[in-house]
Amino acid sequence: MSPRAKGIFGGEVLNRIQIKLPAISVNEGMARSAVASFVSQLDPDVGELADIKCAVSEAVTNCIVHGYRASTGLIYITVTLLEGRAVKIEIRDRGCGIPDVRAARQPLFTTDADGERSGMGFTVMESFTDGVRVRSKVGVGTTVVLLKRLATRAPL
Amino acid sequence: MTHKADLVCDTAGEQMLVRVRGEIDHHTAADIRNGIDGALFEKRPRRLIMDMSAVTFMDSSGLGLIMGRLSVIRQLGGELVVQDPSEAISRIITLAGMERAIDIRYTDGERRTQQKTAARRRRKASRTEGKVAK
Ligand SMILES: Nc1ncnc2c1ncn2[C@@H]1O[C@H](COP(=O)(O)OP(=O)(O)O)[C@@H](O)[C@H]1O
Ligand SMILES: [Mg+2]
Repeated sequence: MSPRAKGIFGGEVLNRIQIKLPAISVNEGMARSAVASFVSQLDPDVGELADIKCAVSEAVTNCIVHGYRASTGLIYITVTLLEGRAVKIEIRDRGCGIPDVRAARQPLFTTDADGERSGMGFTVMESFTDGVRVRSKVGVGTTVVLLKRLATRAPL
Repeated sequence: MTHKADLVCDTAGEQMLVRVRGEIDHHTAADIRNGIDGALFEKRPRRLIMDMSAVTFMDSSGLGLIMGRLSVIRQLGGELVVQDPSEAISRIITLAGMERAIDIRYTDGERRTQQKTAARRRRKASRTEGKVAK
């Protein structure tokens, strides 16, 4: 990420929402719509909103499918709207963690080929946002931070 | 709010047409997969056509769903066609390089060019917008 983008994501907080929901698959749709509806107050264009929904869906699905593969638990989502039309979305689980984050982020890498996973989740998150940060610790959990800068819209 | 997907299977001769509608994610993919595979093993068509024109959302679980059906239909000695992917899903399909692995067809030859022109127009518009804003 460019230094400029970093600065923007460190800007003043305009609004924030926290969502805590059980890691069950029906909540994949719930989570992405809730985030999209919160971000809507910045009046993003349809494409930007579609990108955010898809990236959130990937991160939330990973908590359910991988993080809590052998357990149950909660998913914690924090969405922060920052000055300069920047959106920061943090998605956290207290699941199994990722032993090698760098390997996990490679396109097509999956530990669950039987489950018809494509291994493209991180690649989608990266392509549909302006920055992805992953912090993970085995036995403790995983936090994914998605950064998205919305385009400035021409005044009508 | 509910997030649903459903499908309609229609078999005529050697060909099975499956129309998938709604949102495809890991949650909804399970039912879609079971629905398609059930019909495939029963009818054993030579060709499976997945019409995806009415898919409104798809994440990488949908890529897994498509690749999974490709492998099932191949086991049955048949082939897969993905038909008219909606604009909502064409980006993720391109991102995954799926055009190389999957036969993607457009029933209306015009449509593809129209979509491309529309995308180009939008990109141009957003560039112009950016300039105006600065
Ligand atoms: N929240 C998580 N907890 C534990 N492991 C994870 C998590 N997210 C991702 N992973 C690991 O990273 C791999 C790659 O993830 P991803 O790119 O989304 O592909 P996929 O979900 O299709 O496997 C997963 O297979 C899994 O091993
Ligand atoms: Mg994934």
